[in-house]
Amino acid sequence: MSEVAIIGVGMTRFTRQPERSNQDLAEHAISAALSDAGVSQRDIGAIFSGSVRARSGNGQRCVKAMGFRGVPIVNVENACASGSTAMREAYAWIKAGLCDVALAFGVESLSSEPKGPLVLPRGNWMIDAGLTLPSWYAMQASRHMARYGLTREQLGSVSVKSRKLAQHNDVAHFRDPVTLEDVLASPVVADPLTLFQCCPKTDGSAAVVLASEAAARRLGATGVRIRATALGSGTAVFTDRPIEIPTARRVSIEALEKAGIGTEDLDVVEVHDAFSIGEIIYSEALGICPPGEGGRYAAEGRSLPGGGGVAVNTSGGLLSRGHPLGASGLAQVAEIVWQLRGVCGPRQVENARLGAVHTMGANEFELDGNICSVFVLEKAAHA
Amino acid sequence: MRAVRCAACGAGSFPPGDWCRVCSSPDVSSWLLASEGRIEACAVFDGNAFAEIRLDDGMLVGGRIEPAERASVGARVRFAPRDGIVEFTA
Repeated sequence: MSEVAIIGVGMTRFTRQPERSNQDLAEHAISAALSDAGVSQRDIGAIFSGSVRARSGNGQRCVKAMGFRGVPIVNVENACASGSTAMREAYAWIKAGLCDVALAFGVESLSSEPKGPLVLPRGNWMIDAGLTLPSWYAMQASRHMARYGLTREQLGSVSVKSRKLAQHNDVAHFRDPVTLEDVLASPVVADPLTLFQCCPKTDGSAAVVLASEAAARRLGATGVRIRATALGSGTAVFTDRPIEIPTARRVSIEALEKAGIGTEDLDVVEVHDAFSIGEIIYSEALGICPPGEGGRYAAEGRSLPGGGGVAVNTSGGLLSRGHPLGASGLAQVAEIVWQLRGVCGPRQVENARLGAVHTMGANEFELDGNICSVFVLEKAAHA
Repeated sequence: MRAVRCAACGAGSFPPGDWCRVCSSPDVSSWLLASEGRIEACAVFDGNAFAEIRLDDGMLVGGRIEPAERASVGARVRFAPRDGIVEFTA
């Protein structure tokens, strides 16, 4: 069966830009990705659009002025993994032979929503009882502290590292470095998480162009190969049976096994650090460090390029690049593609050859992580 | 507070429903949960404490904790229902 490659990526700056419509943001990201791939609208056989908060028909609305000639457009809503899931659908269509070049994009405008945590739909017994996304992540942190001795300083070090790298990323929302003291002294959102350990409400779009091997050759494009993809959903939390393997770990193992590699073969990963604790637990889930060691891994600087381990969130992650929900997964993919092309400047991981993208979606709290998407990406041999 | 117990695999599922959430069997029956337990994970946001609680019968459940300042990992809590909200007192 044909291999599938990412032949182009593009994104807007991720920042507060409420004056720009979803259409405006998406047009910018899509034209950047098409031009990066060296293809035009005529080459695209299908379009997959990822958004969480947008109205119905968002994909069609975003591309209506770009001259795509009636190709299928599929709108994907899969919480924070909407962009990642849109890309996986594009991959699946190419694998199935339904098209040979496909576009996936994600777009979200969050800055005009009310301040504070993302407003979640009422009518759910846990949300009605006062649970929010920061408190759900803070609960995970409290468990990690009780079980493994995770410290506040280790948690805070994730944000320090994130800003340190984001200052070299011109698409990032927050680019000013911060100290550990700044992070720990910022207002408490849900103890132990302080404001600088929570991702911002960002507006932005990201896009990728995927092609079959044959189509990439025909178009003269050089690609990053999608070596494996896995997508899974959470299982029930509220039972009297232990969860044998957390969703974030189970899907990671599936992706690594499909790729035929071990975690130690990875050079660089993007994981879902919507909150600092996210980077810690999802680094553990990918096997980058043993369970319980994620805090130490971050605090010792091992997650930095050249830090002696697998580099984590070189873009600044969701914490600093920002988190426009439906666009985030594809911005993660863009960072890994740039790393594998070796164009990341001061945040470059030397000789990066294999990378992974780990995206979570969570707002159905009766499940152990309601969505997990993992891609393993590989630098093309001839690139 | 009620859950369901599965006749096929023996697992409990909360909130109660028509299937076992562990093995998917529809052969479940209503069951009264233990009314006390211990906080396994918790967090406070905007004065609201929410926790995951391991009940004395082994079930994990989620709920609000009152008063919020007494919510901490390891604390003993007792089920105290209020206005349709799953709530425990610490």
